[in-house]
This record gives sequence, structure tokens and C-alpha cells, in this order.
Amino acid sequence: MDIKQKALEIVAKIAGKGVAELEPKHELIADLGIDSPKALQLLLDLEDELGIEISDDEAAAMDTVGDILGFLGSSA
Amino acid sequence: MGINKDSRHGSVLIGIAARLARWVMLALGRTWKIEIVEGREHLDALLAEPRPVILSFWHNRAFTSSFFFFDLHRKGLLDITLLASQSRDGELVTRVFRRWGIHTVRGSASRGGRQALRAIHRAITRGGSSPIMIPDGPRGPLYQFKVGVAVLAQTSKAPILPFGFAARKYWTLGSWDRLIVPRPFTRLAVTIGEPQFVDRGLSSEELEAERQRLQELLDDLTRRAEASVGARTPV
Repeated sequence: MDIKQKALEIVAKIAGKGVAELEPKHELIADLGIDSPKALQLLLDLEDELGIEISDDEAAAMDTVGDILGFLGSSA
Repeated sequence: MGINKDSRHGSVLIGIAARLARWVMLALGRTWKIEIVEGREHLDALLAEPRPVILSFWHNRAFTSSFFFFDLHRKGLLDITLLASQSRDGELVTRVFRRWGIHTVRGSASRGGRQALRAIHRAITRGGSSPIMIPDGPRGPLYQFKVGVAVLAQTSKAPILPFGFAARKYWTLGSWDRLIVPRPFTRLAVTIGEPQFVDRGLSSEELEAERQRLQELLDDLTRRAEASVGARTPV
């Protein structure tokens, strides 16, 4: 499975939404309700399930779904 | 330039306040008669086989608990990490405890929370440290267990070790949490609950139920500590 598709599934699961509902412009906190505890789960799930490592600076820069996809594109 | 001067001035004031707070904490703490009235076996088991746990109690017991945890850390019995907010209060807490070798991570659910929770998670899983996580901090609502502590337990696989603290005689400050400051030479009661593991596979409804259960557990431990010294919950 494509790594970005897998990432979208992880975001959707944490946000309690369907993958089809997600848009790159969606903000993790404001639009998807991903608060700090959910963000911790999200980051850990992304690292565990995609086999990647996300630094604090990279995590801090992830404000939208598009930011996550962009990070995966640049780190691939 | 004016800002830098103000900032330096503020930093000096916080430094003075931290020194004063350390002095008050030690001077008062050494006079308290601290007794574990319930659950000593849970602490003994932890000290016999040290492993990371998440130390939890209500926010207004922070001063009451400080000498108890400082003593465990000072004797090398428990490696503690503290979460302090990014406010000036948090800076004060950081400076008070840094002097005693207790590592602090700055942040809260409202500011810098994502990074702070990750740092605490790493302190547990990579550093083997036990964080103090105050579930109704940093600004309440009072006695409301926030889900972040449960999520931290879920993801780190470290259990929450719940504590109740109570002082027979105390002052209360006018802060949002009615912070308890035990009086000199008073009796302090400590109750310790069983380590609480939180399953990672919980649904959001199950996690909410777990959050409520943990809240009731902490309430119950605190009430039992109060009952043992004849104190009442400040509200």
C-alpha cells in the first residue's frame, strides 16, 4: 500500500473520520479535533506503522493533513 | 532593549522566588510527619524493582507531595521527570526542581502540548524515568482527570501510580486550585493505589470510561488520605 494512503488511514482513525472526508487543507487541531493526546497517538502510530522517525521540529511543523503528506513525500 | 531589560528583571525575580520556594519547601517539609497510611506495598514493589510509572495526584496537592517525591529522588530511589507549564509559574517550578536534579519538560495540554507529551513519552520509554503528571493541571478544572495522562499510559505502557495526599492542618492559597500548604509540624497522610495499566486498544468510548474511572480512583484515594488525618477537601 502507498505510504501516503496508509498515513491517511492512520489520520482518519485517530480523527474518527473516513479517509474520503480528509482534505490536505484540513488543520489537525481546528478541523479534525486532534488535540495533544491524539497528536501523540498519531505521531507514534505514524512512526510505528510506517517505519519512519519524525523529529520534534518535523512534528511541530505538521499543522495540516497536507503537511503530513508533504513530509512523507520529502522523506521518501 | 527595554524588553530585554524587563525579561532579565523577570528572570532575576523568578530566580529569587525559586530560591525562596526551595527554602520554604525544605524548612516546612522537614517538620512534617509524613506517613503512608495505605498502599505502601505498591511503593515498596516499585522501589524493589524500579520501572517507569506515571506518578499522579491532584494539582492542589503539589506542594504537599513535593517533599515526599523530592526525598525519594534525593535518595536515588526514583528517577523523576516533571512536566511544567510554559507560564512563569512553570518557570518557577522548573528552577525550584532543577537545582535538586529533577529533570523538567516544559509544556501543557494547551501550549506546546504535542512536543511536551512526546518528550515525557521518551523520558519513560527511552530514559526509564517516572514522570509526575498532574491530571487536572495546569489550570483545571479542579479534580477533573484529563485524558492526556491516560493516553500517555496507553502509549508508553507505563502504569499510572495514583496517590492521595492530605495534611491535618494546612493553609489554602487563593489560586484556582486552592493550593494546600501544610502547616509546620502537621501530620501528612499518603495513600497509594494499585498501578493502573491502560490498554492501548481501547475505543474512544472505552477510553472516556477509563478516564472517569481513574478520576474516581484519585478522588477516592484523596478522600481516604483526608479521612485518616481528619481533614476535609478544600472546595
